[in-house]
Amino acid sequence: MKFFSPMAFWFLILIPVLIFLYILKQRFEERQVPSLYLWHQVLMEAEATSPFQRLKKNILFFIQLFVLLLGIIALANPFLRMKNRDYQNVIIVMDISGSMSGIGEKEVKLIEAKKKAEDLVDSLAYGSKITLITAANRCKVEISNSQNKKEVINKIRDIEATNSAGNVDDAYSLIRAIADQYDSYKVIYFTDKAVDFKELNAELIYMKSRQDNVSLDYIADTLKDNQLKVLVRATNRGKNHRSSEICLYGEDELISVAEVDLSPGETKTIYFDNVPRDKEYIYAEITEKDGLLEDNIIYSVIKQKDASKILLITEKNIFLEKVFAAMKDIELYKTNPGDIPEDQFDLYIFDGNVPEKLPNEGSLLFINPNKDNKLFKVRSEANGGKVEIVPHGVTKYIENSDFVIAKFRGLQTPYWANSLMTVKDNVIAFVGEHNGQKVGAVGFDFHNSDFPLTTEFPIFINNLISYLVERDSFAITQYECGNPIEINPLPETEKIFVINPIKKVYELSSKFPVKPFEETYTPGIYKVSQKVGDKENIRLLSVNFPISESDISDYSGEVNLKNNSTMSIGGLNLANYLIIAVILLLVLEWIVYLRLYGSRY
Amino acid sequence: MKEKVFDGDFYRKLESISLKARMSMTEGAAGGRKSKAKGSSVELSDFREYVPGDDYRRIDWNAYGRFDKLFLKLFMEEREALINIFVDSSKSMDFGDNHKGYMALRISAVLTYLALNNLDRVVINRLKGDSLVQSSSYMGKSSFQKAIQFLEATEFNGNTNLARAVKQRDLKSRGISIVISDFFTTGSIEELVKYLAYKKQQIVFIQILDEDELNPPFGGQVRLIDSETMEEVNITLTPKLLKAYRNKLKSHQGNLKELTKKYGGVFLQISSSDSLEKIVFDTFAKGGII
Repeated sequence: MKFFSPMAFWFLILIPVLIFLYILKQRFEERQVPSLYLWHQVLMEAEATSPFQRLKKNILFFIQLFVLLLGIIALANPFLRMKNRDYQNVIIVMDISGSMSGIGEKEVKLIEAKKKAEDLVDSLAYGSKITLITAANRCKVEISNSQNKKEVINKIRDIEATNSAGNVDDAYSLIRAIADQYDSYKVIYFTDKAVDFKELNAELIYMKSRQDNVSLDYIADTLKDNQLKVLVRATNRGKNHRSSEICLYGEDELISVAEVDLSPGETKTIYFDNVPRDKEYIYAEITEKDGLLEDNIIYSVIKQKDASKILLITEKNIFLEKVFAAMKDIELYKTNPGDIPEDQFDLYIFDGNVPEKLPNEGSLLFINPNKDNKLFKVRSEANGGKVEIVPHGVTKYIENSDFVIAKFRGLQTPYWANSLMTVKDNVIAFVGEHNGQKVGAVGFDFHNSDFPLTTEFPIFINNLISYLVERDSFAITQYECGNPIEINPLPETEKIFVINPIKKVYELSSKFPVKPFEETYTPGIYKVSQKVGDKENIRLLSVNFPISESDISDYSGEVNLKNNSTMSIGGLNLANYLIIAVILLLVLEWIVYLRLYGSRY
Repeated sequence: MKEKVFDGDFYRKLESISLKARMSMTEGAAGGRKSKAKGSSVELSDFREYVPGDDYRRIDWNAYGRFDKLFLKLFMEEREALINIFVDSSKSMDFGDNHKGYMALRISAVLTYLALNNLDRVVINRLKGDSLVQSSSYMGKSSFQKAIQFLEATEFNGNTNLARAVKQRDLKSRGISIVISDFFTTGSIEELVKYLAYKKQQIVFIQILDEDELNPPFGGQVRLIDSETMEEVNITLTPKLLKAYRNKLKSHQGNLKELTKKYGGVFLQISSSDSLEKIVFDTFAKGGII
C-alpha cells in the first residue's frame, strides 16, 4: 500500500476537531417533567440491561468519525499494489493518425483512447517508468521514462489529432529500441488498427469504430473553354447503402450540388461542368455527417498563372519545337529573325541570330549566337569535341550525359554568369542575371551535335526554361495532412509566412536550405507568402485528409489483443472505492438517524 | 390561580353529570345511600314475623288483619357515609397544558357535588409535604360552595409523601377515601393502602397523568428537570428508551391496581386532557364508583 498524496494526512487534525465539536454539540434540550420518578427507574433499568446503550447512543458519532477517516485516506490517494511488480516500465503507444479522428463508441476515438490511457496511467504502480509515444506519419517520443504520473497524464491530455496517414507498426523499431533498455516492460497500443506485435510484450487496446463513412478521395480540375471541369471521387466505406449530397464550393460560394448513391464499398466519380475559373480554390463537401468527418471535405487549388509566353526567333529548329510542345505550361510563339513582334514576352529565344537591339524586358536565351552583343562576347567558330558538364541547378540530372559537338563558338562568360558546359576549356553555355534580366547562352547549333538525340536534352531545355521564366515553383499544390510542404524560396526572398486554414501564421526562416513546413495537420487551404522587398508572392496549397485513413472498418474481429498475456493494470487505486464507502456510510448514517430519531416525528 | 378552575362551563357540566349520575357505592354508609343493613327508614325492604321484643310500632296492622299473624315491616336503614377526598397538591401536579392539578380539583368538586347530593358527608384534605390541610365536614348541597372555595384555595408546590400525609388524618369511622394524585411519590403506596384499609375505608385511587407523561413527545438529547426537586437528568432518548418508559409506566399502574384490588379498592387512571364527562361516565362508571 502506497499513498500518493501523504500530505492529505494533515487533515487528520480534523478528527480531534470533530470530537471537540461533538462534545460541544452535547447540548441538551431542557424539558421540565412533573417528576423524574419513572425516568430514574427506566434509566437504572436501561443501564443495567444494556451495556451497548452508550455505544448505540454515540453510533452516529462513530459513523461520522469513520467517514472522516475514510475521506482523509481517500484524499491521500492510497494505492494497492498487485501483480505489477514486474511491469514497472510501460510504453504507451498512442495512434494519432487520421482514422483516430473518427467517431468511436461515443465520441472521437482519440479522445476515448486518451481517457483510457489516463485511467491506465492512474492505475499504474507508484514508481512505474512511463514512456509515451505518439504515432502518425512520424513517431514521436512525447515523454520518456517518466515516473511523474501527473506529467504523463498532462502530456496525454495535450495530444492532438494529426489527421495524417500513418501506421503504428512503424513505431516498432523505436519501441524496440526503448524496450531494449528495460529488463521488463509492457507495450500498450491505443489504436484502431490491427497491430503486429512481433516479439514485443504488448497489449492492444482497440478503439472500435462506428462503421459508416463516406469519403471524398480525389478532386481535380481541368480547363475547358475558359471554364473549369471539376472531377470529384467519392467512396462509401461503410456497410450500408448511402445516399449523399456533394456540394462544390468556389472559395466560400456554393457553385453546384450533386446527389450520389453509393452501395457499400462503391466508388463513384462526379463531374461538375462550367465551374467559373476566377476562383482561387474550390472544395467539395459531403453534407451528411458520418463516422469520420475530416474526409468529408476535399480542397483543390486552381492554377492561376497564365502560361509563360515564349518567342522563338529561328529559321527552323525542330528539336526545340518538339521539346516545347511537351511543356504544358508555356505558350510558344515562333517568328523569323528580324520580324520581332512588339508584344511583351516572358522569354526571347534567339536561335542562330542576334538582333541589333535586345529587348529590355523579359529573359533572353541565345542559341549559337553569331556575333557579339552588349551582354557578352562570342569567339570565332572552332571544331568541337566531347562536352564537359559543369554542375549547376540547370545541369541537374544531366551530369552523366555523354555527347559531342562538331562545331562551336566559344563564349566569354560575363562576371554575372555561371558556366554550364565546356569543350576543351572553352565555355559553350552559361546562365546568369543582368539588370533584372535573366540571360542564357548556348554556343553551338543543336544540329551540329548528337545532344538532341539523348534523353538528357529535354531535361536540359526544361531546366533552362525553368531558370529563365517564372514557372510554378510549387509543382505540387495538393498535399496530404502530415506531409511536409517543400518550399523552394524565390531568390532574394526575405520572409516566408505560412498561414494555415484556421488563420494561424507561421514564419519560416528563409535561410537556405528552407526547412519544409510540417504543421499540416488541419485539412484546408494553406497560404504561402514570400516577401521580396515590397512585393509579396502568394501561393495557395491544398492540404487534404489522407485517403488511406478513411478506411475505418472494424478490425476487432481479427486483432490480436495481447501478447504474452500479462495484466496491464498494475494495481488498484483505492481512492474511488473509499469514496464509494464514504457515500455508503453516509447513507447508513441517515438510516441510523431515522431509526433512532425519525419515528417520533 | 392563573386560570379559573370552576368556571361556568364547569357548572353546566356538573349539572348535567348530576342529573344522570347517582353515586351508588355498593358498600358504604351514606345518608342517601341504600345499605344492606336493614334499619329504620321510610323505604320498605321486607317483612318478617314478630318476635317478642320487637318494636311493636313497626307491626303491619294491615297484614295482621288479612293474615291473623303479626308481621313486622323491615325498612332499609339509611346511613350517611363520610367521604374523604385527598388531593395531592405537590408541584408535580402543577403541570401540563391541561393542568393536572386543576383536573384533580374539578374531579374533587364533581365527587363532592355528587356526594352532597347523595346526602353524604364530605371532607376534603389537601396533602402537602408530610402533612395535610383538612376542610370542615360538608353536609348538604348548601355547603358545596364552601367546598369549592376550599378547593380554589389550593396551591401546588413542594413535594408530597402521600403515606405520611394521609396518616395525619385520623379516620375514626368507616367511609370512602378517594386519593387524587399522580402517585409519583417518595413514600410507600402500600403503606398508604394498608393504613386506609385498616381504617375500614373503601379505597379509590385516581391517578391523573398529563399526556406528556403518558407519551413523552420529545427525543434525542434532552435534559429532564424534575419540577418538584429541580433535579436534572441528561438523557438521550431513543425509541427503545421511550418504549422502556411506557412499559415502566404500565407496570407502575399495574402495581397500583393490584395493590388497591387486594384491599378491595379501585384504581383509576385518567389523563388530564380527558373531558369531565368522559371521566365520570366512562372511567368512574367502569370503576364502579357511580
